[in-house]
Amino acid sequence: MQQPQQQPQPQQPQPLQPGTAPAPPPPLPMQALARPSPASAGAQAAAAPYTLHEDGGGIEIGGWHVRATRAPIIGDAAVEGALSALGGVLTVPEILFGDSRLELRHAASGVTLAFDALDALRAWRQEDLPPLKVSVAQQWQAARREEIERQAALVLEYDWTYTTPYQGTLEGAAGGAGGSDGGCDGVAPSQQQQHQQQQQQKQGQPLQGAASDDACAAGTQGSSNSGGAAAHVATASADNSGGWRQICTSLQAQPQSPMAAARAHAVAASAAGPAAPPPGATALPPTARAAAAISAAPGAMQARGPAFSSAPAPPAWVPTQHQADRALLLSRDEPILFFADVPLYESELDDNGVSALGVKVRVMPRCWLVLLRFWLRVDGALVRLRETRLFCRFDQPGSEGLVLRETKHFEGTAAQLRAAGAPVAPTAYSDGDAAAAMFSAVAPACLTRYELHELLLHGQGLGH
Amino acid sequence: MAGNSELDRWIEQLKRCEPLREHEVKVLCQKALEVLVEESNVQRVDAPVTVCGDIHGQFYDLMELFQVGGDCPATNYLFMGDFVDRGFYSVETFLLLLALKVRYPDRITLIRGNHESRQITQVYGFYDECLRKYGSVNVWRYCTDVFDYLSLSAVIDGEIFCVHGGLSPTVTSLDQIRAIDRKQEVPHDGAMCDLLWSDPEDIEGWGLSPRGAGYLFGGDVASQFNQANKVSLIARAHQLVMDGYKWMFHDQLVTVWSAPNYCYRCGNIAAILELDEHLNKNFKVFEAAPQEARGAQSKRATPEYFL
Repeated sequence: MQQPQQQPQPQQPQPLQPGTAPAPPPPLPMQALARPSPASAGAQAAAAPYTLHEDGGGIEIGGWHVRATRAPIIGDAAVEGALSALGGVLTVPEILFGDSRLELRHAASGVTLAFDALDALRAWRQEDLPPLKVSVAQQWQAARREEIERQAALVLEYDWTYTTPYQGTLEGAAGGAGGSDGGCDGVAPSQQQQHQQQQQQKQGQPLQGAASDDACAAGTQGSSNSGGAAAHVATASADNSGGWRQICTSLQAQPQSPMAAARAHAVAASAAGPAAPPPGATALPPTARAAAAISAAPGAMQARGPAFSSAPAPPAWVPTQHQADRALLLSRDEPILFFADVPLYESELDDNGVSALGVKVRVMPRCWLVLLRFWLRVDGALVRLRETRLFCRFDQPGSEGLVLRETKHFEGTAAQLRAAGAPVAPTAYSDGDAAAAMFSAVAPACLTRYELHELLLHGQGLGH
Repeated sequence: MAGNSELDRWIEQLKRCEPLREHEVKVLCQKALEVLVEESNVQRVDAPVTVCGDIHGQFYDLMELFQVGGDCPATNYLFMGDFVDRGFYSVETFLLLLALKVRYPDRITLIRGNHESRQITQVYGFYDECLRKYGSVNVWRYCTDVFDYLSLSAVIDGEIFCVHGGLSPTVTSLDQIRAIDRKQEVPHDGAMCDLLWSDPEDIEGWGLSPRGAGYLFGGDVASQFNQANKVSLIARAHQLVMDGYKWMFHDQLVTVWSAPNYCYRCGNIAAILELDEHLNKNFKVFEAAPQEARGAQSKRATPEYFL
């Protein structure tokens, strides 16, 4: 990737006025969004005024407030807090930027798209993939079977790769039109989800099949995603400001069997029947697991909870066919006004590879682009890449209220990589960019998911 | 062969972060083998001594460490492994420590970390760095041959057991460590592997990592080991800790981490553990060397047209 040479063109900063709520935008010119527009045409005319934050940590432009916070990794005390906040897990990534955050706030609706490590780890717990084994595991265990049994060694079973389906956190405005103070406090997830669905219906967005053409290319995993929005697990929780919050993930709505829910996270290997696992060894209580399984099951949203009418319904991601304007993103005529690269967490996997989650943003005069990327390399065993791109342009009337999202997942075991003609040696995947380049070179091999979604944001009084 | 004046010259050169020439590395490594082969798997060290954790090729931060802890040989040092990989200057870092070892064998002790291995260094940086700086892998070969001779552990005044990773279920006494034939690549299993790889964890007894390879040990295991071997403390490195050091198991184990701002982006503090002649403990913490001290390698995020 070339480094930009241009400097932002000098423009008169025009601070956005706090407290003035723009009127709800007119209907969006959808076709205009989908149509590739030559980046050079009208660049000057359409460029929005902007204000850079004095500390260089953010920008206000086109109805959006973008703010990036980079902080050191969190210390022992905060790690302890994170372990319990995640339901008593045994470990979190040792490089955990728990105080770092990227957020993009849509001024008119008060809705914020945020990226934060703890939310990503909550999604990790929820997805809870079965543990991978490193390439030497078989050899290691074969050499020690007796020893392991003699010691009654506790076999820990959790996804130590920290693979997350996280796609960002959607945070709503406090209160809302007609909403009483703290009206959302204590709202159960099911109620929130019901609202989400009602909202989708109100918006009249196509819930079915809109993304199916693209999803087909993704092969097997996409096939279970026929439920449209229902396939998205939204873990909603009331926050203390009276607003709402959803951790957006790309989890499938596949039912989990009671067996899966009951699968013990820690089992003693000894045939002699050693003591039960200590509490600390259980990554997530089975009950919490079962609850997660229920909320992830199709139909759960309809089955649980009464309608809840006083709070504003949150906006939601729905399938779409709209894509980011690639020509606009490729144009070097558009200077980058603001750029941030915010690592969220990393693990060296005890020297068995790399697991890393980070988010980048670039803001140009007419649009912004966010790339959230999780990537994993387990040396000699597997490479995994999960990318979420968010795009919004604010150079057309009302277009700043539409955010487009592209989800791409790639994954290859050593055997699959070999079959696809990709290298297997860990040194070929030195960072996320290298992994991404390799996967795009061998696509569609190893592509496990491709989806397009959009999020429609209105002015205040959302949904009412 | 290298005399003291030549060694002194090399040490001065390396302290400026200038690597030795290939044939000089060869001589230094040969000399180092002669010194290291005499050492026990459980090297005896006398207090006062300053105990250090992972360095990972962060040369300028090692210089900061010497500023904080005092120069060798005035200060007696014990480094608990992981000199190489990850950072930009594994070559200079390891060669400086090795030159000090050869020059002052009784004033610096180097024990082996899991990164002092052919396999790991081929993935995590040292191999590539040698190739890039010398145009061949000869220096990597000389250095990895030295790795095989590094001691596996140390005991300070019979009281403090020092090891890179942790304990092993096959090791209940120090004599079992002494019996290991260490002069080999770090194996995938057995006591030698465990000493360099295992981690303490808040569990009872032994745990098997969810990765399918690697042990975790609980406080009761540490306690039994300490009692059986009449030591009061296990000092180890191997795991990044934000505050530079971390006590566990009612002060029966401490992790020491000596790479500040690890990988040039974690923002963590580093620590060294100073032990006086009565084994009183004093942690000295330090931050990364200032940008101006580290030459051209400072990195700032430049805007990129990522897609």
